[in-house]
Amino acid sequence: MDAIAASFLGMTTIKVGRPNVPGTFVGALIIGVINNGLVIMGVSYFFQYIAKGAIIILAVSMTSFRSSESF
Amino acid sequence: MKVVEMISVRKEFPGVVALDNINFSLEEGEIHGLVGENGAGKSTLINILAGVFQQTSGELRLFGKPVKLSSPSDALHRGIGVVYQDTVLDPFFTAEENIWLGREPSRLSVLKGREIRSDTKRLCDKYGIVVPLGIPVGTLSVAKQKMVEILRALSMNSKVLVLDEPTASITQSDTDNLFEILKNLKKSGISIIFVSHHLDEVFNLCDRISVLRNGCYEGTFASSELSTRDLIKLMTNRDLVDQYPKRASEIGEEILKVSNLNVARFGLKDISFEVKRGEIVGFFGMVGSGRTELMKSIFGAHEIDSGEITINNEKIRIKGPSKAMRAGVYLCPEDRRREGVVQDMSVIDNLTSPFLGTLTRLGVINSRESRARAGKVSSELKIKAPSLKTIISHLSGGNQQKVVLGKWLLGPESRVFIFDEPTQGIDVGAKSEFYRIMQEIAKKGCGVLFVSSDIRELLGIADRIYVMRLGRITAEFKRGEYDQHSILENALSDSLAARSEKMNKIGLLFQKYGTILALIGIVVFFSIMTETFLTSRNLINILSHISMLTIIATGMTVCMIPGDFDMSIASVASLSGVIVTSLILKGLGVFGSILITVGMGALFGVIAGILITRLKISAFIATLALGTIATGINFMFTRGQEVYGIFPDSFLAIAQKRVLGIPVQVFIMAVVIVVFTFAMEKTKMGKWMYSIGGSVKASFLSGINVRLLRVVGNDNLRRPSRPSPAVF
Repeated sequence: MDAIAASFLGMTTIKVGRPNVPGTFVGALIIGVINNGLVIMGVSYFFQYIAKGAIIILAVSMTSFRSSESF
Repeated sequence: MKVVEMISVRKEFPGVVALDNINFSLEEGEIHGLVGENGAGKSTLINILAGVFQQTSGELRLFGKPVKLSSPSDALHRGIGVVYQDTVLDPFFTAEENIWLGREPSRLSVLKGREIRSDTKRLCDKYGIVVPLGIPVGTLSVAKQKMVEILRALSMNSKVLVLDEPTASITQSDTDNLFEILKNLKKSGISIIFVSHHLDEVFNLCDRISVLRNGCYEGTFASSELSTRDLIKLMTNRDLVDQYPKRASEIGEEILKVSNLNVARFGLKDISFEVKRGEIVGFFGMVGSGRTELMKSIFGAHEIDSGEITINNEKIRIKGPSKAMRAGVYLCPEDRRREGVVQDMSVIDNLTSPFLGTLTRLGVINSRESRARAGKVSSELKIKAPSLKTIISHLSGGNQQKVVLGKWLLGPESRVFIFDEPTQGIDVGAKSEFYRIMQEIAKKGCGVLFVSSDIRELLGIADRIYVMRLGRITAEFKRGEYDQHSILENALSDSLAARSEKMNKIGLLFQKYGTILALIGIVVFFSIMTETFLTSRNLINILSHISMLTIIATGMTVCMIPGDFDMSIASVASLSGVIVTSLILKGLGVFGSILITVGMGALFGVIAGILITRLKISAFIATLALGTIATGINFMFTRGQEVYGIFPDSFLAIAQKRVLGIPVQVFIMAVVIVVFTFAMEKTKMGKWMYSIGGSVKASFLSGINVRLLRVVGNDNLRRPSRPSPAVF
């Protein structure tokens, strides 16, 4: 699931709106950093899922909101 | 010499004869006009020339030799360049990328960027056409996009250039510019077929004119020996005395009043106007003057910042089109193909869709009632369709436009109709019919807003004309004081697009790097919250953790580029892990095991590709099923238990060893990122995959093997996953 999330997060950057490899790396970094940071902070693992999901929704909706203006 | 010759060409579609007994010929170095009403068969004829369709019978000769064109790329290679009515460019690609799409200069599939640019410059110089290079064509004006398409059509040293309605959505000055270019092309020996509904353009530009009517060939005439009236008669088989019908409609009280409307996003400023019952109010302005945005704002499709809209003396806050519809305000949008109708639904479904609620009882559609009402509207508007069940995309532009209007006529109470470029790309006969329909609507006591960039039709039927420029209303003219020159003067200026482009730049930048900013934000957050986060050890730890994720996600991305999707990714990845470890434990060499695993991944990819392209199973389902199969095989190998044993050092190295303190996995990830970025951005294959994702049609017309590339997309995906630490 994280792989899919990373790909979609990648679509929000570099080449906006299109899947792209460098963007996917950024997406993977975000997911990796969130996982790692939350573990270090000692947040329980089920909350990590919730946080990750929320952040993905936030990031992807930011770009789709902007592009919907132009229709 | 006859460059193109069609002899008794006939084209049948299931149930329809689109063309019959066509005898058409194109001489070298002439501009040949092709005219006819909607549905007369012009597009079919062009599509035969373009290799999209093959004629059912009859002969097509190019340069004297009989040929059968098998595909668009075949036609292009034989020297026929076609510019279609709808822009078929990839908006994300630059002009040069679009021009050479499908036959980019390259070595070993790696694109030669410099050569592409210099080739484009040479092409531009050769034909004297100027287009901005290096920026996505989506940001160019429609006229410039047409130029890009013309360049693409000419890029194979074409001898024949076919233009389908090139002037339909560009301004007068752009049209003049285009004609200048076409005349130059003619001088350099290129033969041109020019399709247009603007008869004065056809007379102005063409040496000879061929007429089609109802799929039949009506003859070819020198344009000097034909009058407009003769031509209309040939096209419609009836005498059209006055294109703009006169009328006497009573103008009543005010029905729509807009005061001080502002929409900053589109540069709309301080817009005030009113429309009375029975009145047709014209809106004239260049593309980019904000007229379409204004109309959409009134219809509630765009949110307004401030201002008042009063309908029938009642102040209304229009939030969304459904509110506008309830207030009796209806919009026939400019882009009817995409916004006006649902292309793959039938006539009746399109007609009844907005007010379906009035045709249902307890949520069930009363089909007899809806058939009756749709049938009534369809016969009132004289919609020409074999039946109400006909899929709308099979209808001609004019008939589609009638359906767009017809769906509003089914509404309970109508007050204001907004027509945005309703006659764009429809023929003379249908146009004049449409004017009559608009007048009838006004006569019923509705207000009509009529947006057009064709000043003649506004002069012809509007009672009043507002002129727009740069998002403002700059002038108002009443019938009787019409003056074409001052109307034009008030409309002309630099387009709004240039300004809003600048405004958008900051937004675009934010959009582009917003996610990276978010990443930095998260990193800062964790650095402040915890002490250990920002240590080099932890950062390396993160990198090694995400290395496998990145590799799999890269595969996913490659798969998503041509617009597919892979559900099996996780299952195949874990199967790869199991297989590679099992093989090694069975004593196979590390290298061999990895190779076999890669092969296994590729096999899954090829199977998925074949299922998707040959059997036309949706990528979603195909990969979901394959994923399930992979999971099954996985269990077969492991019997639900972990694979364990003693691995050779060389294999463990991949997972555990560090170089310069950084795990080998991270290096593998870096290599994967670099290789795939390169493959997607710098090679032909990558460009083509992107272009398929952008528009399957555009790519097909560029002669790209869509199928093959989708297979490749799925194939590439299967990177063998490195054994995850969990396996150890």
